[in-house]
Amino acid sequence: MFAIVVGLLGFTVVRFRYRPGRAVSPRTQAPRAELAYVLGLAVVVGVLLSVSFPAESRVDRLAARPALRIVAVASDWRWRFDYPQQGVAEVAAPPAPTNLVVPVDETIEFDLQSTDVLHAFYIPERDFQRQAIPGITNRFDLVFTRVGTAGSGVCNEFCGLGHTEMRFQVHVLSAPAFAAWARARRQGTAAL
Amino acid sequence: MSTATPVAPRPFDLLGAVAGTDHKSIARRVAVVSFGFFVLGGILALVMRAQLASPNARLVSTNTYDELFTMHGSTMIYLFVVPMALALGVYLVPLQVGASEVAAPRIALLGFWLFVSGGLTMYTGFLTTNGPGKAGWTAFDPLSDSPHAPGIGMDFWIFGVMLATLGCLLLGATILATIVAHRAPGMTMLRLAPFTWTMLVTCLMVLVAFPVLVVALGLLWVQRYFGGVFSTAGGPVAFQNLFWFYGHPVVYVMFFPFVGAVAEVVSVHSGRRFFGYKPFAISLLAFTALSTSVWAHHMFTTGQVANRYFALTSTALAVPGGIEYFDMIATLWGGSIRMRTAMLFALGFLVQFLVGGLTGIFLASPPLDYDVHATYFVVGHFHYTLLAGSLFGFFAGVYHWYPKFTGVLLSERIGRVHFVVMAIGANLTFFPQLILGYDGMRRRIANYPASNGWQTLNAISTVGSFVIAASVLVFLINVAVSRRAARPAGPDPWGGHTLEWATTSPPPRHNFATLPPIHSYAPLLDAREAVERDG
Repeated sequence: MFAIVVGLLGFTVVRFRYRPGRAVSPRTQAPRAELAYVLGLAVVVGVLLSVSFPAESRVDRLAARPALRIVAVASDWRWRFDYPQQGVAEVAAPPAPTNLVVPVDETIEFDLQSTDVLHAFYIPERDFQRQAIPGITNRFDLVFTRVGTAGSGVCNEFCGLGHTEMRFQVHVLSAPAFAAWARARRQGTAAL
Repeated sequence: MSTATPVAPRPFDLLGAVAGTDHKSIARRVAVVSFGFFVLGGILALVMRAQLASPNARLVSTNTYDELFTMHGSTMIYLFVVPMALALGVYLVPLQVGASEVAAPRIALLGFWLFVSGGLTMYTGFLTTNGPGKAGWTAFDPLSDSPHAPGIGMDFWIFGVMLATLGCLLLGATILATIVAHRAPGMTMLRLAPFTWTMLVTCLMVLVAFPVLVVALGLLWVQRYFGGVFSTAGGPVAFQNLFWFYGHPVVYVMFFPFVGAVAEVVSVHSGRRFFGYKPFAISLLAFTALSTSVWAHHMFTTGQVANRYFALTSTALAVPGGIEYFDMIATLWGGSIRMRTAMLFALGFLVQFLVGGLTGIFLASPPLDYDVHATYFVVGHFHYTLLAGSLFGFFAGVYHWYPKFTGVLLSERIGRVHFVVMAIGANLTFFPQLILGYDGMRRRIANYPASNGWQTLNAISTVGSFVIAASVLVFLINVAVSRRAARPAGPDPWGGHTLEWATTSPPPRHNFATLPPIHSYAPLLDAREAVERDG
């Protein structure tokens, strides 16, 4: 697209460069050609949207019965992840990132909240972010498909002095490892 | 019409500088002051780029860095691009419609002084204990509320933006009133110059959007001292809605005047009547209508807006935008193109804005926006539209109209150097930012770890920003050299089409001794063609 326009522009500029005595074209409109072009643009817009909307539906789909619920609480300037079903909470003192521990291949419901200003939950490697808004719980679902550290998350809505350091680290565990981690965590023996 | 006598410099007129109501003098003052703010805002950017040149740098503290990006963005938007765009309109629109004066010149004068006091108020924040505003140019509540942004500096920021925006609102209103009520006999709406058409739609957007910002910031101040405005659960979202209802139309306020400048440059310097005048006007009106219903594409990631509606309206902008490109290229096609500096900047605008426009289509898609929202991809995108786009359009207009404004010609040779240096600098600075953002680098971070591998691209970007600064110096040198050389421009150095070229350079106090007959948007071209036809 870019190449077409720039190529056309470059060709035009060279082809119609100034020459003494060159007569300029008197033509000042081409309504039919321009209308056809507009219809073409409208088709392009339609195509873009028809790709974009289903993709959005996939990303924003919410499961009726997610396997796990995590309440993600953002506050100045740290993350806390509560696991109500497991009775576990993860929090760390910045600049250390908070651990976000999740089981592999399960649909996880995130309930995103903020206790003070706007923050945003962002995992660049997962191409996903959502704003954390005080007074509102923002729900979204994520599935992590590979065991290991699935990238580092950050706050991506400027929230003041500690914004740069407001991070979390995603750890994806197999189902038994996740259960073992939750059990150990509940008994106060942290094991990752 | 090139007499050999050099143009005599005017003696400085203090009363005129304070209270003169000639639209040309008001516009010149707005332009000079806002260019001063551009230089200030640019210096703030250079400090930021110096900090980001290497990972984990500690050139400035995080607190200072937050002040820097807040004041950089606020300066460039509220104090440079918007007032500069309107200054072009205040100067040129009365000339282009054949009026002797701007409508309500004393209102325009008030607008100038409100803008100046707004800028000074905002910068006074640097003198306060807690420093100036540091909640970003968007000042989202609750970050801008008193518990999170204590200190009078934030209040100075709020009042500074309110005053400057109110000033620009008044300037815009006088331009619109001039177009509506002060056109010369024969100057119908479909004979307005392309630039005047772009100013018409710009001022419509100013009138719709700017009051919303003034009120939203007034409410923000009430919230800071008395609470109760944005304290409810939906308050922070309401503030974002209000802010972006201003914040997206203003993007086009910072764009269309320069589209108009480029349209004039493209047609005059290729010796051809502007192609597709009516579709161009319709596309501007369509853009304006859409401009008030795209704001929430800044809020896709809030999960609190109707994403599809705003994705639809935002993507639909490609249609009127595409018409404008069509008309510009079709004007060049079949012309006799002279590669003067103005034309170089106009072509630079068309190419580089395209990068901004095409990356914008990415951002109009919610699922893609989830990935790159608020990253350097966005920073790169809007700098391609604003600096590599609007600023190039601005300089196209400067090289085109500077002879009219001052009566002297700028040096073409230095102008070409200016263009080349600036084009290199802009792309060195902002292309790496697109890649960094795609790689997940967030905006508004004071430093980044060495482990991400972002150092090289950031270093390139920093070098580029200093190249841009050098190009601005080249421009200032050009102005100084041309002032000294004082080569007289004559009334119409380029073979202009529109009425501003039908009077002396600079025009006299009341603009015109006589007006040519007006039968199209290009009365001067009509006259030349009539001479050729009739021998």
